[in-house]
Amino acid sequence: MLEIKDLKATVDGKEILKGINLNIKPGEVHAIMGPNGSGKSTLANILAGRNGYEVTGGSINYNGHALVDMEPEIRAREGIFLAMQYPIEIPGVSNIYFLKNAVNEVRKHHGESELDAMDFMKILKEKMKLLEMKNELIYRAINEGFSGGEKKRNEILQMLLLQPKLAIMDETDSGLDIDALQTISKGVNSLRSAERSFLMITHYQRLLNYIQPDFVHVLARGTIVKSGGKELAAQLEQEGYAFLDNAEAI
Amino acid sequence: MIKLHLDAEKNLLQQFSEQQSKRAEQEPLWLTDIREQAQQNFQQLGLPHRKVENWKYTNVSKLVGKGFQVAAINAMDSIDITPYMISDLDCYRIVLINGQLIAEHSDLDLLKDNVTVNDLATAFATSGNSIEEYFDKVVDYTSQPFASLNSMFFNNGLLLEVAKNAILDKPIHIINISQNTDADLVSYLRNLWLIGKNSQVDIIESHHATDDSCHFVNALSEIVLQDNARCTHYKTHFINQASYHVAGIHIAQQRDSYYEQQSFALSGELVRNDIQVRLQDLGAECKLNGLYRAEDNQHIDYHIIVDHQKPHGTSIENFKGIMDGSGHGVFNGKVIVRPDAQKSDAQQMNKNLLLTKRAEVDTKPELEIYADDVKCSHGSTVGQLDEDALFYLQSRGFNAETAKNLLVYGFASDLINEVSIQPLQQLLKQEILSHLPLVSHFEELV
Ligand SMILES: Nc1ncnc2c1ncn2[C@@H]1O[C@H](COP(=O)(O)OP(=O)(O)O)[C@@H](O)[C@H]1O
Ligand SMILES: [Mg+2]
Repeated sequence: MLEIKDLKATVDGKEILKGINLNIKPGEVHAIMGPNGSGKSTLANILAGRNGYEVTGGSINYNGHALVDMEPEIRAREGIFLAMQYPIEIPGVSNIYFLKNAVNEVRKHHGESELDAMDFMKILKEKMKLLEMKNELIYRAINEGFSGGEKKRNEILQMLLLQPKLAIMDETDSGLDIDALQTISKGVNSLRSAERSFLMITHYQRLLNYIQPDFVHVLARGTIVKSGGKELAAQLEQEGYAFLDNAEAI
Repeated sequence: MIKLHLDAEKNLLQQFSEQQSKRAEQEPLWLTDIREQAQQNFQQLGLPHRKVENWKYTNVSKLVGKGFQVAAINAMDSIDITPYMISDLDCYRIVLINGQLIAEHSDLDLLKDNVTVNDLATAFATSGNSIEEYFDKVVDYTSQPFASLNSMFFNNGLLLEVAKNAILDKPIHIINISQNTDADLVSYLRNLWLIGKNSQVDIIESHHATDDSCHFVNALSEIVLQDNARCTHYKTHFINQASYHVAGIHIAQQRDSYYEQQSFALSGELVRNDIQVRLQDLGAECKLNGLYRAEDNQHIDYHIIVDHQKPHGTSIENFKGIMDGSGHGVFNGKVIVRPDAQKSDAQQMNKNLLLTKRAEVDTKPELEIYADDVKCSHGSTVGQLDEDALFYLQSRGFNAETAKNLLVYGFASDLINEVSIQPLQQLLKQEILSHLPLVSHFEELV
């Protein structure tokens, strides 16, 4: 599904990613943990195609395509989804317009017919119920005046609607209370399947209690310094990131 | 350029003296005085050029090159006005062609009890009405050469009097149609609206042209709001990208009156709107909204003065500009708070979006405050589209062009949504969206 080889990237000439290797197969759930500023969001943004990062070395292969050359919208239509750490507010464009047309852009790309308002509403209502979202949120402008938790739910709602092949979540858990975390996890878990892969970026082990990963990687200073199973997350939680000071890149 | 100006000025003064010798016999003496005063004023000001402060950013030489022949007012006998109506709008309609009231297309009878509608020529010929008291009393000609020209040359116009205590159940839609019978004409429109005590009215003023030739409209409006009157005034024009629209709107507000203008300038090669509001008595309140958009070869200019003359006045201005291609926008908003006008509250905001490197905007908010106990704020911004927002939309499958268009629409949407007359709101939405192709219907946008 996703093969990252020796990926190096700079921001404003400063090297942030210093040779990342990561291999995600269909159906796998990977978690990336690491201290603030280690490059987690940088990696996520590069995968989604955000401007402002320069890939200076290595490669990213996504289902046989060289990802770096793809426009962000093509990546999205091809099944890459990034739930953002800081979802953007867009005044004047209603959430429902945004959601419906996003779904239809992806459907068109795959040669499927567009959903009409009624069919779309049916699906939307069902997903919103799962995420315990207030109805009025779909009639407001995108993320405008949403609370932190509502923004995060809205991200996961988009994920549920777009049904990505590779779902990347950047600190989706940060700032959420336990109830919200549980609800969101329920949504994410409902998407898990043998074909769909996840890359979860988080600072805390907490999320991984609800969405159990197959692999955990520790990112520090731009490289993956340790990889393991979900027990690694528990170890990090107890010992903190202090051990990294001595750790060698693997 | 200066030679061009001098020739045009000479020509205009010549035209004026020829007309005036005939006109003076028909018109009341006081009107003759007004016209001659305007002529002297014009002679002093001359046609504007870029060395004149108030016209620094707006080059009118294209316009000066036109002949300035006054358009005839004997319009076509039968004209189909349906293209100029706003669909689904329930309103009282008033139709003018080149400044001439067309009674057969206007709902004069329906308005009768609440609103008196007259053409100016008729009103001038009748004595004992209020026209002499108000006409030409509101306009301030300071650095307004086009207003001077209007007073020199207008043939006819509209007198609209909303009766004391009248509350209108439907908006009045004033349809102004410009009809070229020849090339290089200018159509002078003149308005005097008297909004009576305690009355309440919504007025839509729209401007149209009958064909695709270059139309040049010079409009001058005086609006008086008497004590406690309320008027919401929507102004928009639908003209081609080769036409000129120069308008002066001068408003005098009396005690506790409320005036709101929502102005939309979304087409035309050269558009200049001078809006001047004088809060002449206690507790007067005004709100001015404006949305302008310019693309290649378009120039849109708003010059606004809000003059707080008495205590407890409130003014709110919210203007937004979208500059695409090589479009050029100008916003100059001056707020004056006179020594007497304590407890005034004046807010002004101008935000501009530049969509290309060639697009340009000159924005200048000005405050002149002579009172100490006042609340004033002003600000202006010039920016590009938000990269993060563009990425957000693209990362959900929208292509770059659609993402851009959605953001531009979002930028303008608060001003469009404030149009509380739904059919007009829809029309303006369509107008904006005609430049912003989107993935699907806009009804769902908000
Ligand atoms: N747009 C940017 N401009 C400048 N520096 C950036 C930018 N984005 C990230 N960085 C820098 O890159 C490093 C990694 O940031 P980030 O990927 O956000 O870390 P994390 O998500 O792990 O907290 C930090 O030192 C940060 O300051
Ligand atoms: Mg981060």
